[in-house]
Amino acid sequence: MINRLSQGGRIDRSKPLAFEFDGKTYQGFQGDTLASALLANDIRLVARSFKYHRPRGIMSAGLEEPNALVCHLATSGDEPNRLATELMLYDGLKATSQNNWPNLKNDINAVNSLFARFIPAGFYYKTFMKPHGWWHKVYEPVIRAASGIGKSPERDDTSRYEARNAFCDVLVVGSGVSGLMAALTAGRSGAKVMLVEAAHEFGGHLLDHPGTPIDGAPASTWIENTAKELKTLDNVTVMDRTLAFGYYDHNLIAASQRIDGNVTERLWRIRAKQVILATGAIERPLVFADNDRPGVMLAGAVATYINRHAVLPGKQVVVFTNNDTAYHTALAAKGAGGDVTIIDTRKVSGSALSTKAREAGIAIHTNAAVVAVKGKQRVTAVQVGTLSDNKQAIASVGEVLPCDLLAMSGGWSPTVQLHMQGRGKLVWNDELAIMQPSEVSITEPHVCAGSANGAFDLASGLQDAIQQTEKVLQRLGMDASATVVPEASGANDLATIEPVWRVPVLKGKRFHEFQNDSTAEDLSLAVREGLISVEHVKRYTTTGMATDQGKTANLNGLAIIAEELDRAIPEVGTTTFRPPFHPVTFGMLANTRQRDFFAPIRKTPIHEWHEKWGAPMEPVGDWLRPWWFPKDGEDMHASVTRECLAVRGGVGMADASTLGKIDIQGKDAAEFLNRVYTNAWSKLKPGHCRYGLMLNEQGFVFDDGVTTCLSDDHFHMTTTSGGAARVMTWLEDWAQTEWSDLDVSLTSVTEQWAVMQLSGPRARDVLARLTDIDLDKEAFPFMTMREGKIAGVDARVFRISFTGELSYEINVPSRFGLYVWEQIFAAGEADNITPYGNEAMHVLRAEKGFIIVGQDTDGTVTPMDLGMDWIVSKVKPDFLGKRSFDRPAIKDGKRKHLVGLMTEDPKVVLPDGVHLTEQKDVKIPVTTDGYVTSTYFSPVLGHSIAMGMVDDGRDRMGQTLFAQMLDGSSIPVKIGQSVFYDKEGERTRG
Amino acid sequence: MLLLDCPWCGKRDQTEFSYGGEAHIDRPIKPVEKSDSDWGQYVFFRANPKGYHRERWMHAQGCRRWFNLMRHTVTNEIKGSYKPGETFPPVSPKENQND
Amino acid sequence: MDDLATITSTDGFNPTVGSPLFGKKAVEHPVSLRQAEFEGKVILRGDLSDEAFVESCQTLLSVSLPDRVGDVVEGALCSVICLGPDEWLTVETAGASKLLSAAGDHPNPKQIVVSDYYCGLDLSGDLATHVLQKVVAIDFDEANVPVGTCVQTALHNVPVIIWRQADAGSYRIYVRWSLAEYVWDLLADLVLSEG
Repeated sequence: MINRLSQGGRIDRSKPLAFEFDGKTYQGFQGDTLASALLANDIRLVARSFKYHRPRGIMSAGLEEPNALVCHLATSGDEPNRLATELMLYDGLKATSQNNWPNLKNDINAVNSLFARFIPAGFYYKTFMKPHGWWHKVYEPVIRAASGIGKSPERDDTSRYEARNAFCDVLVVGSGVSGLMAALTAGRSGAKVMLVEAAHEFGGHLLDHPGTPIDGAPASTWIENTAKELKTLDNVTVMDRTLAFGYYDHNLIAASQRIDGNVTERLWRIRAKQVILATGAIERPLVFADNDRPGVMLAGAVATYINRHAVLPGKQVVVFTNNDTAYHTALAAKGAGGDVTIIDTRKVSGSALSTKAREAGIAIHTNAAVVAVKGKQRVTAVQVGTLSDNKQAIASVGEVLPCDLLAMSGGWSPTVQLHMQGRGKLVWNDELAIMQPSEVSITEPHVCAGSANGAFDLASGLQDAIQQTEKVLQRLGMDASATVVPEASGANDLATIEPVWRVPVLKGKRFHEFQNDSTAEDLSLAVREGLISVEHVKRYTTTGMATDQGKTANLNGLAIIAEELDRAIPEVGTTTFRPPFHPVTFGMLANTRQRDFFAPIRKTPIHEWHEKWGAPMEPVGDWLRPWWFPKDGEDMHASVTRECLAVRGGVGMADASTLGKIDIQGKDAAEFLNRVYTNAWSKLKPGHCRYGLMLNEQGFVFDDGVTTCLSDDHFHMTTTSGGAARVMTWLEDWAQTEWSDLDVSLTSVTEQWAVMQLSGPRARDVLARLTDIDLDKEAFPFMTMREGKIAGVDARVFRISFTGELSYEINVPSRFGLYVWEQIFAAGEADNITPYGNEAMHVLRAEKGFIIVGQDTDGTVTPMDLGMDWIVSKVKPDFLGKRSFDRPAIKDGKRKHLVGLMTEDPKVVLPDGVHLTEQKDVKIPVTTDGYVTSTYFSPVLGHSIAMGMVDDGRDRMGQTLFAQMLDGSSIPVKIGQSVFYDKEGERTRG
Repeated sequence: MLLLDCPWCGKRDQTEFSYGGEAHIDRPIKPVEKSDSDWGQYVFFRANPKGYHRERWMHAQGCRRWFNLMRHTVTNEIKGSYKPGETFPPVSPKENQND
Repeated sequence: MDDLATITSTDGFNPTVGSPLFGKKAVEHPVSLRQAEFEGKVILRGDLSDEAFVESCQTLLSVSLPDRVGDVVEGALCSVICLGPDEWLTVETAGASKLLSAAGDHPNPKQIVVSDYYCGLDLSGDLATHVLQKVVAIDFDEANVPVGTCVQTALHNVPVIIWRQADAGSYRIYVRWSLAEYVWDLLADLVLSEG
C-alpha cells in the first residue's frame, strides 16, 4: 500500500483485510472504506462517467461522492451503485467497477467523448425522431443498453429487512461536534433523545482535526467522552450507521440503519416531537477545465483520508482554493510528507492559517488559478495562470507544475436537504457564500445547528448547538440543564471566501455535475436556448438528477445560472428537495412486507379441509377461497363440470364463510334498512329473509345481499365477500353522522360464523340426518331462517339459494365450522356429496341469471339497467340513490341493459369482456354496443351461456350482434333472456 | 404521513384512518323536492380549497368512529379534531387566504 | 341403504373445537408467544347517557362500564373493554359465553356474541414490546399505554386489539379469526429473528 502512512489515522493496523476490486486482490485495514483502501493501493481509476465515459476517480470521502460507484458483490446479493466511500472494508469484500466494457482501462464507450460536440445537454430532445419507426427498432434498444450506470442484480436478495417504530422528545441528526453537543445538552436535561449518525463512528468532520483542543484536550478525546456519556444515559439512544433520509409530515423522520447480524437493514420510523438537524456541510468543487480527472479530489476529503485512514493519495500535492478551509489540507499533506503548493484565486492570502502554511514551507500563489489539467487516467501535472480582476478571464498563463493529487475547494454548503423536506426555508448568506436555513414551519418543528446552520468555527458551532437545544427544550416545556459551553477556539475559515463560480477556460470541459456528465458549458447552452427558470435549466442539463442528487453540484449550478442570467443568486431560487436524501434500498422500504408477509392472508375456519383435499386456492381480496375440488388428476374444466352436475343432480357443499355479515340492532333497525336498500323492510317478519340491493347516492348498485329479520329490532345482513368492509364503512357513516338520531347499532360478525352452503335436490335428505329442525317444505319454506342444532351444534340455517337449487346456508360459530362441515360430509357420503368451489358457484348462479356485483356491474349500473325494477319500491318516498333515478342521464339517456347472450355455435364460449357490435365487419376505432360480463360453458345445459350489458338490450331481444375478437375475427351472438335454467324457479322453492 | 388526532383514541398515524371528503355537507331532507342541479351539487360538487378544509376521517383500524378535522390543504397543518355534531371555531378570512 | 342415525346433542357433547392456530407450536425464547384459551366474548352496544342501558349493564356484569376508549374494568364474571363511545367488549374468564344466559329477566342491552370472532395471542417477555414496535406504530411507553389498558390499532396492516397486561411486558392480542394465522406466523418470525 504505497500511499499508506506508517503512523496515525483511526485504522487498526493489527487487522489486515484482503479485498478484491475488478478481479484483483489488494490489502487494507480494519477501519478503511473501500475508497481509502483503493487510494492506499494507489488505485486511481475506479469508474467511467455516465455519458462521455471519461475516466473517473474517487473525489470525496463521504456520501456526496459522485464518481466512485461500484457494484458490491455481497454474499446476500449484488448491490449496484454503492459508493466506495461508504462501503466499510471487511475481509473478503468483492466489488467491481461499473459502466465500462470490456474493462475500466480500455472502455469501448470512451469513444463517446469523441462525439461530445454532438451530445451536449438536451441533445435527445432534438434527435432520434427520424426515420419514423427507427425509435422502436434501433434507437431505443441501443440507448437502453447504454443507459444507466449499475446493472440490476440477478441473484435473489437473501438479506433480512425489518422496521422499527420509535418515539422521542428530541431527535438529533448527525454526530459531528454540534450534534454531539446537542444530544448531550438534551440528554442531560432528561428528555427522551435519539441520536442518529450515518457513518460507522461518531465525530463527523471533527475527526479530520483530531488535535484541535476542546476543553484543553484533543478533539478525539472529547468525542470519545461525549459518546460514552451519551451511551450511559437511559433516556438517550445512539445509533451509528443510521442515515436519516426523509423528513415527512408532522415530524415523522425515516432513517435507514445497516446492521451486522440476523437483520441486514432496518427502516426506522421516528415520530419526534422536536428535531435538531446537525447535518453539517458538504464541500463544493471548483468548476475548471478537466476538473474530473482521477486524482482531482475535494480538499476536505484529502484531509479525511490523511487523518482517518492514514492515506496520502499523492506525493505532489496542489491545493486549489478560493477560501481558507483548504489550508488545513495543505498543512496535513505537508505533515504527511507531501510536496505541497497552494493555488489561491484570491488576491490576498493573509490569515493566521496562511502564515502557518508559509512557515511550513508551502508555496502559495495568489490571484492564481489552475487553467489546465494534464493526464487522462490520472493527473500528472497542472498549468497555473493568473486571472483578470473580475475573474472572468485568464490574464496570463504560467508554469506547469508536476502534480499527482489536486485538492480543490470551492467553498462549503450547509446540508439542508432534510430542513427543506421539512418545509424549511433558506436565505442567502453572501459573506460565507452559503444558502443557510431561515424559517421553520409549525407543522415540522425543528432547528438546525452547527455548520448546517452556518456556524463554521468550532466555538460558535458548540454554542449554536447549545442554544438551539435550549430553544427546543423550551418548546417541550423542559428545563435546559446548566450546560457549560466547552472551551474551544478557532477562526471561521469560511469567512474570507471569494467565490469563483467558473474558472475561465483555455479548452476542455468544466464539470459542475459530475455524475450526469454536465458542464458549465451546458448551463450556458440552456440559457442561450431560452430556459430561464431554475427548474427548467435543472432538467435540461440534468443537474442534480443523478443518484447523488447534486450534493456537490447544485449550488455551483445555481450560481452559474445566476451569472448567465445576470441575476443575484437568491433571485434564481432552488429546486424542490424531495426524499430520500440519499439512495436507499427497496428491501429496507419494503422490510417485512415481503414474500410470505407481503399482504395479509385470510383463511376460513374450514380452510385446512380444502387444503387437505388439494383444492387450488383463488385469492379473493385478502381471502383464499377454494377454486375447484379436483378428483383423480382432473383439470379445472373437468372438475367444475362434475361439481356443477353434482349440485344440480344430487348434493354439493361450498364454503361461504367469507360473506360479510353485519348484526343490526335497535328500535330503528327496520327504518335504517328502508333507507339503505331499494326495497321495503318494515313488514319483514322474524325468521324471514329478503334480498336487497344497495345503491350509492348516484343511484348505482354497489352491493347486494340477503338480510334476515331475527326479531322486530334485530336483523342479520349479509354482503358480498369483497364488499363487506366497504358496506360496513358506508352504513356506519350514515348511522354515526347523518342519522345519529336513529337507534341502530351495527356490529360486524363476519368472522363469528362459519357458513356452509348445502345445495342440490338431495340437500334436504342429507341435512335431515343431522338435525331436529323440521325441514318439511311447508314448515321451512324458501327465504326463511330456522335456529336449531346441526350435528349437535347450535346453528342458524337460512334457506337462501345462490345456485338455484334447494339450498341451506348453515351458520355455526367458527370454532365448530370444520367439525360440522365434516359431519355433513360424512352424512352425505351415501349421496356422493360433492364439495364445489368458487368457479362452479359462479357457473351455477350464471345459469340462473344471478348477478355478481363488481362483475356484472361496474359502479355505473342502476337496478333498472339490470332489469330489477321489481326490487325498487314504488312506495318509499326516499332511499339512498333514489333521487338520482330522475337525472336526465338515467331517466332519458341511453342505458345499457343486462341481457343473456347465446353464441350461434353452442360449443363456443365467449371470452370475458369481449365487445359487441351490430356490424360484423368493423374498422377500429368503433363505438361498441356493449360487452360481456359473465361467460361460461354450462354443464347442465350442454352449451355456452353469457350475460352482458348491451345498449337498450331488453328492446333488442332476438337480435344478432357480433363479438369482436382481438385477432380481428368475430363471433355471432343472439340477445335473449338472462335466465337460462329453471326459469320459473321451482327447484329453488322445493 | 400525517399524525391525526382521533377524538377517542388520541394521536395516531394516518394509515389507521380512511378519508371521507369534505365535512358539513348535509343530506337534503326531501331529495325529491331538489332540482337536478341542486341534487347534483350535493352528490358531486366539493369545495377543494387551497387553504383550511373541514373534512371527515374515520378511524378504520381503531375505534371505527367518524370525526371531523380542520386541515390546511397545502401545509397539512391540523387546527384540531371535533366529533360529529360539535362545532369548531370558524377560520378568520385572513387565515384562509390563498398562499 | 340405511339412513344414517340422526345426530342430536346429548349431555357430555364434545365436538372437536377448531382454532385458526391449531397445531402452532408455542415459542418460548427469546419472547414467549402462545395461544390464549378460548374465551366467551360479547359486544355490548348502547349509550352511556341512556340510564336504562347503564343500569342493565351494571346488573348483567356487576361492574360499571368504562367510559374512556381503551380502558378496561375487571369484574368477577368478565373484563369489560371500552372499544368506542357506544361499544364494549366483555371477555369471560372460562368456557363459552354465559353472559347471555345470565341475562335472564333483566332488560337486555344490545348484545352480540363474538366469542369466535376474536382469537387471542399472548406475547410476553423482556423483548415483547421491542417486537411489537416492529409492526405497530404506537408508542408503548407506559405513560402512553398504561398497564391494564387496550389500544385498537393496526399490526402490520391487520386491525387488532392490544391489551397490556399487569406485567408491562405482557400483551394479549386479539385478532380476527381469519387473520390469526397470518399474525401468529409474522410474530413468530419476528421473535425468532431476535434470537
